[in-house]
Amino acid sequence: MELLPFFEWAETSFLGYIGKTYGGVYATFGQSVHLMALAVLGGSVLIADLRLLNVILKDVPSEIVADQAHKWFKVALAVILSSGVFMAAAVAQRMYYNDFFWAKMSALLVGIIFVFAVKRPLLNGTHADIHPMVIRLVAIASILIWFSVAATGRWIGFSG
Amino acid sequence: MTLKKELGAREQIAAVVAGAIILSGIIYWGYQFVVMLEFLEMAYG
Repeated sequence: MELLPFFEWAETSFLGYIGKTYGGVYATFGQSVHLMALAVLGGSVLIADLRLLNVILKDVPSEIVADQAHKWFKVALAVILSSGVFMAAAVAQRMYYNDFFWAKMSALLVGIIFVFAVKRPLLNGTHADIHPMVIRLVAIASILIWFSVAATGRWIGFSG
Repeated sequence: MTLKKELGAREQIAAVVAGAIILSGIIYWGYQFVVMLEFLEMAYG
């Protein structure tokens, strides 16, 4: 499927026009909100995964930490996706030809599927019933994948 | 009893997917690191 026409359309759409024309709107509603949501998402991921790895908050049950962190993860993800679409629309054609944009989108897709199809179903019950090695593997994979999303996202800004 | 027999279906899926992600991440970032070293060598010798 050829995606270039969609990216060309996105840049000429209302969102693309706003982002392209009004730098202040792009910087505040796009970049600032996107970066703050990234910080919340990164924080929720690190808190949950470092607790699962038994590094922090050892006196709080990991079920509570993971559930609370997941609530904020969902809020942050929603904000990231909406502000990300707005930001990408303004520079859609440049994004289309950027390898790191596609690396980030791939990592983001894998991350979302991993969280909602693998990690949450696994952690829904009592964590003591889960093999410790599996919990550690899931926590390390989770940190790695969201690190990749953040790193490739920042790399977009330094490439092309 | 082996580790595989002890694990439930969800645990097995999670272990396989997490292992695949970790392996892919190591390969991807390892490759990026090697490319970066080559660039640095080209730039500064």
